Amino acid sequence: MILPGNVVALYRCAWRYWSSHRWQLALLVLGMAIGVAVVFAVDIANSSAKRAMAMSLDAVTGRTTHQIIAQGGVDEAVYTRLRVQHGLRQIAPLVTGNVDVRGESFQLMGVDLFAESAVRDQFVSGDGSVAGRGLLRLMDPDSLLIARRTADRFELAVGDRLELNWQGRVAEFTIAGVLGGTQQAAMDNLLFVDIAVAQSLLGMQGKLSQIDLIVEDDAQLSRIAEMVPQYTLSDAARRNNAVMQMTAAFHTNLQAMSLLALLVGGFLIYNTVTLSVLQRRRLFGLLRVAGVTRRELGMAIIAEVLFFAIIATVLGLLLGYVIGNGLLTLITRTINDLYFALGVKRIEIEAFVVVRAILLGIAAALIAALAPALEASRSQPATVLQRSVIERKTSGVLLWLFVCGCLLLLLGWGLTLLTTRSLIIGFTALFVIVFGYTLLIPGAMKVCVQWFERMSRTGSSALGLYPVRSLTANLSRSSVAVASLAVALSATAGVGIMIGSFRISVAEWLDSTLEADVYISDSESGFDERLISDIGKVEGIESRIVARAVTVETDRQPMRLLAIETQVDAMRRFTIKPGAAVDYQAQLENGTAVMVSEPLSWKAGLAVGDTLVLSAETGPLAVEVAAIFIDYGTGPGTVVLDLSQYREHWRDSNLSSVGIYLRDDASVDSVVESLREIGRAQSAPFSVRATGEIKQASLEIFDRTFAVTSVLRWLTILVAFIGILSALMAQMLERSREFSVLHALGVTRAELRLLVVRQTFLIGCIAGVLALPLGFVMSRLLVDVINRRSFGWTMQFHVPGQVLIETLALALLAAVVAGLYPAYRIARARHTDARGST
Amino acid sequence: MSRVWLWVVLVALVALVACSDESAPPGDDQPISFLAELGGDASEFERACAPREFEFPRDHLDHPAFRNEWWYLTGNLQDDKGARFGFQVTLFRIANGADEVTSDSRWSTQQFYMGHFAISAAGRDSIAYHERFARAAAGLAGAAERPVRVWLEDWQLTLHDDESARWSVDVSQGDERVSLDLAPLKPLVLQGDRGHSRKSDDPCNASYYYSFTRLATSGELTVGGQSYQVTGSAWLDREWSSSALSDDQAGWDWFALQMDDGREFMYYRLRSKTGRTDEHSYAVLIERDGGKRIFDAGDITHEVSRWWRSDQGAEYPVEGSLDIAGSDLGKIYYAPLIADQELLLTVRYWEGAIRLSDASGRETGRGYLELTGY
Repeated sequence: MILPGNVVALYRCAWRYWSSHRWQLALLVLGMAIGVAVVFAVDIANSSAKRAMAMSLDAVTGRTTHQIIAQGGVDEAVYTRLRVQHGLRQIAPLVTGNVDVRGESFQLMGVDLFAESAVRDQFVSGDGSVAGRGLLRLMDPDSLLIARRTADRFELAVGDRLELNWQGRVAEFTIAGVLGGTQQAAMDNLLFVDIAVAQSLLGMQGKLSQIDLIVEDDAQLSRIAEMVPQYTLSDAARRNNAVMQMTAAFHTNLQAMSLLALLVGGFLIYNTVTLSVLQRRRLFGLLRVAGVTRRELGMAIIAEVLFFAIIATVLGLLLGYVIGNGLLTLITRTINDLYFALGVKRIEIEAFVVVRAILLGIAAALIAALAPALEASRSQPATVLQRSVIERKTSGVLLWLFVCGCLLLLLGWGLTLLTTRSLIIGFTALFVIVFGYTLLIPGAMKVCVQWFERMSRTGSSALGLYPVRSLTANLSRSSVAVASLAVALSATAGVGIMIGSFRISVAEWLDSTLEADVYISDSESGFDERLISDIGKVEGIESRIVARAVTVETDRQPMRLLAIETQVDAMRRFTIKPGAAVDYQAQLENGTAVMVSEPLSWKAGLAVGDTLVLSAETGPLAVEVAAIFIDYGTGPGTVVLDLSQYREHWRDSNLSSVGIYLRDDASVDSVVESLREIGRAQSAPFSVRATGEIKQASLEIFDRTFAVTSVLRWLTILVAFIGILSALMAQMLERSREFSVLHALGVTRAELRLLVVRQTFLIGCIAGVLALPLGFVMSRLLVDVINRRSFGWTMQFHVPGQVLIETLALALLAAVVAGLYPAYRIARARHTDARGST
Repeated sequence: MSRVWLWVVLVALVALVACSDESAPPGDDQPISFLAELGGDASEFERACAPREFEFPRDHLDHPAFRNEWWYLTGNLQDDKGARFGFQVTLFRIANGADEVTSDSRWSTQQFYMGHFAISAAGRDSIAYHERFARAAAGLAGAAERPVRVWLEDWQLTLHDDESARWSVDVSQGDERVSLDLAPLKPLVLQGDRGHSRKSDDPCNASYYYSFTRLATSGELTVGGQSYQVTGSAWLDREWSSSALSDDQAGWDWFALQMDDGREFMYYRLRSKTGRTDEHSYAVLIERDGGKRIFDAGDITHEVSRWWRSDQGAEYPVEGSLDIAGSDLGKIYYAPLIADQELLLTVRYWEGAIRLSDASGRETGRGYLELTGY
């Protein structure tokens, strides 16, 4: 193909320009790459975690269509009855629980080898991947089957020993076999043991976690339902879906954080591209004079950016893969802590995720390049030669930008009012507001600079004013730099404030909820009420409160039912939201009403006065919602009922937890030790923990949960930092001619160095100050709109001073570091050479 | 009855676990060897080294200290229109290990049950059959006293009256069901030496073995969804042991013949891999009064007149004759009720109803034939 001379000339010019501006090029590509990398990393980590979760849910569910489940587990005799008396064949028992192995969480699957093939295919999958001779050994009391992938990961072979930890109870197993087959990823967090072993280990003697069934049609379903009138037959797919839904908001939040990074990256790309056009304005002018058309010039700029965007995107994908691996660990840990036993997974990259990241990176670059390309192509040959024209123009559009910005802010605010439920609209509002705010930045900057100017006029030399005034003179460039820095900083501030507020809310909530000094708790099956008298004998105990926590089916969704002694002071522990029924305490006591947690009220759309139907042992129990209480739980949500009512309707006198208040002179440690002594004597030991320990553990989980968010926050800062570095550096380097004039006028090298650093410092100051209001708005949106929509949590709003200081410090640091290299270069440059040349 | 013996168990377990992952390192997923898999050394289990005192009804129940055990019921039936049927119901008990398991879980056990049942109907193309497994725990499978009852989920064999030893069997799955009452017409027969049945020169390589050789049978059969009121005659074998067959044995042919003259003849021929008849093969004639007469393997001449080739490519000697030297039975000709009585279960074998006739072609009785290792 023969290219027209103009085009060849253009490419040659671009080549020469970028080869003499390698630093700028490197930063441009790096900035774009990191932007793409962050989005891609979050994308692949998110989708891998989600897929892993879906797969392991499927692996556990197998071909099951329905499950018989019950609070406290299903009586094992029911299973025998269904098989032996009713002759059901497509049915299998399961005793399951989460255990720790080498610090990872696994789902222990207690199965009956002979019933498994009825519902699940791990043992007899299509390719015949059975665990060889290990399969029958599963009947041995210390045998364990694991997936090949898990075995490889832990470097385990058949015959090796492996320790399992269930709530502090350690048991050692022998790897009896390794499960092959194609479902490796799905099975990677499953450990198979014999059902008898699981019952003993998990303290579930006599109980099954569930009975899995394959039901052919509705007629069969109702027949089976009649066989087990006391149990709920729940739809397996719907149940899995509910589990997936729980984490959906969490994933969306991460996605939004990554998009924020791309937004910051976009500003940076725009900034760099604009700058590169401005730097070549004289060249472009000459080219126009030489006969290059506008279209050719515009296309050349776009092609140039596209070329770099492709390189940057490829780099970004590679970098994103590395970051994604790290994020996945954090994400799976969070899911693990909050929702679901999920081992650390491998990154699984789906093609559409790659395509999306590529498109996103290239689109961001092209959008960023569009304005400078139009700018360059629209200019008349003569005006392109003069920079002052551009600056004049920029000043002219300030008003327009201001008006547009205000309108966007209004639009964003309006969007938050539009609906209270949609998360997507919540995020859209957030982005509209951020964008609107950035449009205000050039104007705000001008005001800032003018204010600085007035401040520094008194008692300052002409040179002292120079950095301030030259900012105004270079507003088109510096405002983009300031805007991208401000957005990045505000994102970090906003997220910082959100995490801070949340942490304080949770800590206060823990304080008010965990009032007792020591807590005893047990798994779903609960412990016998008689235990209470043993506990009462322990020296140093003043009083105690008891509670029963089980999962119940309702007319809406499965919920956590917490039965408490409403007549005692236990109610104090709850922070009731305004709007509760006046006599909610009395209603609760006489069993006509319940309280629901705030997340539950949010998710299930339950308001005070609504009726909720609980599937009790004695039949459906309709209760009214009398109050809503603050709760930061992440599960399906909690409904609180009076304990005596629970016992009556569920015919269950077991307890799940006992809160123990100590006498003032009692030692927590010795009481805990005595209680543990009692616990060890039980067939199903319970856990005893001092309140301080629980709080600490809870906050540790909290911090782990937000580790991902923090990492993303720092990645965003990194993108911004690189952005500001490249923008300021390029700007300063480009002005070397200006500095050489100053040098010729007698300004010393030291003074020049100071001048450059002072100017970037000033930019940092302005960006930092401008970032704070946006950060504040962003955090309010995150707290009041996003988190509320995601999880149904209401948080108190705290603005930690530390976050504000951090933000400002970060701004200044980025700006000063960005000034150092140009200062060094400028001071060393041979200014005589610089005169009169580009 | 030597029959399915340990061989079934061996093959069953190999088949159950043999579908091994080819990518696995060798040794890991190799098909199991009988001894290696089932609790290692057979000496962990109790062994049948000498004759013992049988005690009924206790011995109708399980003997968990032994590795394997079965309740094996076969028979020939007909409905009031003369339509002919054969049926087989077998419950196997298998011990995975000899260790007593101490656990607070009701599911804990080292024992499990395997069940097979099959119905052949004259005029149908092939035999209908089912198989299932269950652990001997949590009430899913096992044996219990008062009344004596052996069950595998909803399949069960019940002894209703200890004195008259009247049994009933009820198994069903899919479109098939066997629901029969069985009343012994003769006292039970202790096989071998007072119920001690040797399988090789080693006296401990043996089983405890007794049979009800003729049970008057009536009840209902359902096959292919269609039910028939039937009557006829059945045979119940009981055997338990901990030993394995020797390596050079390929399989066996087992005949349980009920002659119209009121006598029964049972013969199992252990075949070596070279086709030779093992000297521990066994033949017995039960007289009308229940008296038994044991024959040497050398007394029996077995000739095959028809080999039937299954879709699996196996060829079974489904038709032929037996000549028992030193008896007045004469040459007994046998032919299958239907040719395809092959069971493709965890274990593949041919087990089916046969008609017996004399040289002139006159029907002289009915029986059951089991062919393994083909």
